[in-house]
Amino acid sequence: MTEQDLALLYEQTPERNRGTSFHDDDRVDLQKASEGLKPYADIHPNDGAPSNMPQIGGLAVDGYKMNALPRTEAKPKSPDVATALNGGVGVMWLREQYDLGA
Amino acid sequence: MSSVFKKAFSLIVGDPSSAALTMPKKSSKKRPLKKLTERELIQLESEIGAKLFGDVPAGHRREFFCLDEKTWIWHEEFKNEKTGKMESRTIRYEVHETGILKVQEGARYSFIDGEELRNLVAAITMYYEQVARHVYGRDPRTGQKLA
Repeated sequence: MTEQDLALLYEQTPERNRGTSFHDDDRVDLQKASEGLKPYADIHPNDGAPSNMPQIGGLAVDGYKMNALPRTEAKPKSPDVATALNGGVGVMWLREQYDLGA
Repeated sequence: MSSVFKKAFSLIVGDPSSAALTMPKKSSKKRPLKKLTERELIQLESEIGAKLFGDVPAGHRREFFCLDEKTWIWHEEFKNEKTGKMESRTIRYEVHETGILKVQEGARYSFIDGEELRNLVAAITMYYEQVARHVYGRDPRTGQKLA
């Protein structure tokens, strides 16, 4: 996949192209969702996880947990969607930590 | 040459008596914390992602990666045996709160379910776990750096 292909994919992503996307109204407001994310350490206080660790850790190991969901008014309909959403949040968190040099 | 003119000349063309011109050293501090670009990180992640679905058939090239928090990309290139031409297929999976939308070329949209949904979610989970360990050197459960 070339740089150009990747750029095109970015452009085609509804998040970057609001107004022309498909099912805009159904998209999760991740900003809002992430505000409600409970720090991993709050749920597993004894394992010394950093306080800004997203919930993916708990989900990945222990499976779906209600208390691991973002506290949005509109919750994902299924555990699968919650896991997928948290997977993306987790990967972006890893990239962010890399960028921060943490 | 008057001293004023000499000074002005040297300001324009430099001091000919000085040592040979040297290129400024590339500042290694410009992006000290970003050795790899996001695209390079995605490539590294994708090498892991491509293997999550089993062996890649000979002559195929596969990529699977997280584009952003809500978007996952499957890309496969292969040679069409009949035409001999290279073909590619890109599928975008968008995570909506109501489900995961599969977007294919030709304006084909469908929310996935059943085995495809289970496989994708398992792949996303494995992707996170393996990428955390092997690309970022972090424990996927705690987020802490691995020793």
